[in-house]
Formats: sequence, C-alpha cells, structure tokens
Amino acid sequence: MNIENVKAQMRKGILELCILSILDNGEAYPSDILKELKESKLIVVEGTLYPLLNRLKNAGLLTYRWEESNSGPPRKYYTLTELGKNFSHEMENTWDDLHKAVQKIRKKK
Amino acid sequence: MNKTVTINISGLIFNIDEEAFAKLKKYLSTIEGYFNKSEGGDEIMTDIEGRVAEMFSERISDRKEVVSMADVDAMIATMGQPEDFVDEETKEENARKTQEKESKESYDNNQQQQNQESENYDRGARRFYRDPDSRIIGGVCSGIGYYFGIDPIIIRLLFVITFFTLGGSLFVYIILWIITPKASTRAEKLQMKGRKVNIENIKQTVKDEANEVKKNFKNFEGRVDGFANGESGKRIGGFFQSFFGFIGSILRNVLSFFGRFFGLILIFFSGFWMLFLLLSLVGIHLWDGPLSINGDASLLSAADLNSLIFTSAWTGYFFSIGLGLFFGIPLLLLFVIGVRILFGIRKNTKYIGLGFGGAWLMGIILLVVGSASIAGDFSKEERTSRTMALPPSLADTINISVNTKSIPHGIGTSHPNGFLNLFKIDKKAKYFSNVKLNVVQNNSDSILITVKQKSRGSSYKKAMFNAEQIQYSYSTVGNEMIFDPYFSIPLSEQYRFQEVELTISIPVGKTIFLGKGTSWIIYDITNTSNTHDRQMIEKYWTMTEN
Repeated sequence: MNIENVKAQMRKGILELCILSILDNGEAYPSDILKELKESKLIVVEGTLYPLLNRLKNAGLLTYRWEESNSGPPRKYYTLTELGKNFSHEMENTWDDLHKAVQKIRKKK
Repeated sequence: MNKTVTINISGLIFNIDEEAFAKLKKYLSTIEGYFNKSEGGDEIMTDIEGRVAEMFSERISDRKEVVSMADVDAMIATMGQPEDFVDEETKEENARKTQEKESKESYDNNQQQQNQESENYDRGARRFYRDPDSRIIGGVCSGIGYYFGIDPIIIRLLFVITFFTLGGSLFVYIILWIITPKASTRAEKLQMKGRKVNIENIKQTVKDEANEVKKNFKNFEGRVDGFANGESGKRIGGFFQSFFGFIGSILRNVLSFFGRFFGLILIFFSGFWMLFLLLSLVGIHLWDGPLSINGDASLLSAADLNSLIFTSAWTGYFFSIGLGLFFGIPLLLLFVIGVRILFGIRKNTKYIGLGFGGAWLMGIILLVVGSASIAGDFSKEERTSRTMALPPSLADTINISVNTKSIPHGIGTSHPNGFLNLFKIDKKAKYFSNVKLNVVQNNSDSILITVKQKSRGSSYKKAMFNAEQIQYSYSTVGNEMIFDPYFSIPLSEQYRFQEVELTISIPVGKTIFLGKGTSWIIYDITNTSNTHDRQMIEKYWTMTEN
C-alpha cells in the first residue's frame, strides 16, 4: 500500500467530477478550468488536464466550440452534453453520499 | 547575441531563441511520443500546443518580443513532464498497442494471448533509484529497500552496524549516493518501487523465462515442420523471423545474466583493489611499526621509508594522493560501471564524468609535479675525493678485511643489493651499503687508498653538499686495512644515489689478501685469471705487470 499511489488515485477520480462540475456552471475553456483546479490545489501540472478532457469528450460527456481570441490562439469552449449533465449529477450525488459516509465514520473515532 | 527562429504554434507566430526552440521541440515531441498511439492523441497534442501558445503570448509584449529559454522553462514547469501527466489509460493503451505490434510480427494468432500474459508479467522490472520521499540522508537505503523489497530500516541498520565494525560502509554509501540517480519523476518512482522481489516471484520469473524459451522453441519447431512440409514461400520469411526471434530471446536472457554477473565481478574486483590501494597508501603514512625490506634484517617503519626519498612528509603525502587518484579513479569508474550494470541504472547522473575526469587529471598533475621534483633531485652528480698514502716500508702482504662487527645481525654473507642499498636506519643516521672496493696498479712504491664519495642533487652545489655529508671510515693498523661495509648520512638527508668508491692502488710485486667479509665491498677487481669477485675472497693476490 503506497500512500502516493492512493492519493493519486483518489485525486484522479475526483478530478473528473470537478471538471464536470465546473462545466456544469457554464461553458469554459481549458485555462478557466485550470485556474479553478489550481486554486483548489487539485492539479499540479497543467498537462494532466488535456488527456482527461479528451477522454470525457470521447465518452460523449463534453462538446466544444471554437472561439477566436484577441490575445492568443483560438479557444476551445467546452460545455456539458445532456449525457454529461446526467453523469455529472449522478457523480455529485455519489460524492455527497461518500462524503457523508466518510464524515460519519470519522466522527465516531 | 542570439539567433532566433520564427515558429507557428496554433496559428500564432512567435520569435524564439534557437536554444529555447530546440528545448521546446524536444519537449513537444516527447509528449507526442506518449500520445501518438492513443485515441484522440492528435487532438490532445493540438490542445496542449494551444495552451503553450497562450502561455507564450502572455509572456511576450512590445518590449519583449522573443520567447526565451526562461519562458520555455516556465512553460514546462507549469505544464509538467509528460511522464507525470500521462494518465494510466494512455500508458496501458500504448503498452497494448506496442505488444500487439510485436506479437503480430513474431507469433501466431493463437499464441498471442499467452505471450501477452507473460510479457505483462516480466515487464516493468524495478530500477535502482534513490528515494527522495522517505530518505534519512541521501535516500540510498530506502532505494535499496525498494529494489530488494526489504524494509529500508533493515538496510539502514546493516549500514550503521557495518560502519562501526568495518568502516567500509560509509565509503560504499557515499559512492552509491553519488552514482545513483534520484527518482524525481513519478514514472521513476514507480520504476523504483516496481514489483517486489521475493522467493515466490523469483521462482515465478524463472519459470516464466523457462516457459518462454520452451514456447519459443516449440514455435520454432512448428516453423521447421512447416518449412519441411514446404507450405508456402511466405512461411519461409516467417520461419527466419521466428528463428532469429528465438535466438534473440535466448541471447537476451543469457546476456542479461552474464551482464549482471560481470557487473558483480567488476564491483568485487575494483572494490578489492581500491581497498588495497587505500590501505597501502594510507598505511604507508600511518603505520608506525616495522616494515620488512631485506628479509627480516632491516626493519623499518613507514615514516623512515618516507624520509628516505621525500624531503618533507608533505611531499610524500601529495605524492601518495596523486598515486591514489591516478590508480583509484579508474578503479572507482569500474566500480560505478559495475553497480550500474548490476542494478540496471540507465539514467545518467550529472557531473560524474566531469568530477572523475577532474580528479584523475589532478592525480596526474600531482604525480608529474611530485616525480619531477624528485627526479630533479637526482639530476646532477658530484664527488669528493681524498687519498691517503701508506708508508712504503709496509710488508709485502697487505691484509684487507671488513669490519664485520658492524654488520647488523641476521644479514647473510652476500652483498645486500636490496632496496635502495639501505642497511639500516637508527636514531642517529641512515646507513647504506653501496661501498665498492677496487684494486689497481700504481707506479710509485707506496700504497694509496682513495675514497671517493659520490652523490646526486638538484644542482652541482647541492650534489656536492650531499656528497660531503657522507660519513665513511676505515682504519689501517700495520699491514692490516679494515674497511667499514657501509657509510652513513645524517637523518635529515635523503637517498640520492650516494656511493663510496674505494680504490687501493698498489705497486707491482705487492700481494693482498682479501680477508673475511670483503665480499661485501669488492667490486670488479681486474685480475689475470678473470676470477669473479665472489671467488676472489680469502685468497692472496699479487699485483703483476699488467
């Protein structure tokens, strides 16, 4: 049992949930998502995000549109699909349940 | 002044320093290497490049138009190393694709499944890294612990215990610390932790390897059968492929075994000689007890030996350090290579080559400077000469003998042609044995004894001084001549090829008797019967006309 591996796995599962939650609040492009994730210290290196977004998109949970930018290259704005919204809500519920369960058990200590 | 390159990232134009460009290109192609096999890899690449372009455009302005190395470094720090952010799915996908490709090339479809299983089994073997996460000093023990699947506390205990009992473990620790790379990326940490090695797994691995060979062999037999039955031309190509694949896999196993064995031999060989070198070089300065040089006769302490050649103890130390570096560094290099082979370390640690090269060069410089200064002390030769005439009324026969009482106990009767002609060193002086006696003819009627004292030095003046420092004595009583078999120099003097040449010149008709002990000193006396010096003693010799 290695603490680093466990931590990484916990973070990874939650990361997907968080990306979906961020997008549930409205469309966003990767730098916005990165900003939020970095603020909550969920992500260390930015490179992690791109394969995840790609996988979520390939799973049909996300879709995107291009938008020109004044200061940089064109941006990919991601939004949740219907499937993604359902998925996100389900995951959030599961998370709440898990969170409660963990807290309940930890309070007993 | 730097050359810049114009590049296009995601449709934006950047001017970038040439060096920074090289780094950026390498970084992006590394990422691409990870993603190009996975689904949607191109798209991920495009997204990442878009972010790179965005980061660069944030960092440039009207005043700063060129993307510099610092910008690229900052971008990489934010983006992260690919091995840290490539997720497990991509890695697995890559591994599967690679395997499939290999499998398709060399195996039949029905065997593919099995091969995949066994490949999964013995890939991902652990590497030896230093562990930065749970280290006490350098993370060496922890790394070893992971490598062998032992609790690091046991390794640490072993190191500490051997440090107090043998002392060598500190040395080993430091070497391992220097040469072992630190597991800095996540991939390296995983490699370091890898798979535990216990008896069960070793057994399994051996079994797997045996199965692999067996399977390959069967496969190979099948191909031969197919070949013999003359199936199709295509099969021939397949046969050769599988034949070489089979030979290759055997070779790989054998090579990896011998490689590790060779690594172990290298470690033991170089370790042994390094220890030997260290002990002898340190020992020669620290050892205070007697050292035997001419058998058991002349017992010397190491410091005495040092003072024979070196004018000061420091010259001796420097010379030893030079010697140690000159021979030690190549041995250390062999040791490092051995450890790297044994533990399969591939990652290079910085500055090792540089450090080794520098240390070796310093060793050479110390040796050359030391040798040159010593050699310089031998460059010039001078001699003093004194002659004494004996009264002509002396008897016809002269007895020549050696003051045998002064010969230290235990030395044989032969001339001690030993180390540096050294006789002994006591509290008062250093004694040397190279005293040479020759007998020649003279035309007068008196007997002459000439004593020449020779020495070398860094200059003629110094050589003369050294020659004058030689103390040599002989005595004449009646027709008896008694010579000392040695000369001495003061303790503060060093061995500089000092020599005492005795010449006895006698008129024709006189006879000499080479008495007991003269074998110590006689040297190449010309005689009519061409008798060797050894055979001339205890005989009478009369000077003739020639």
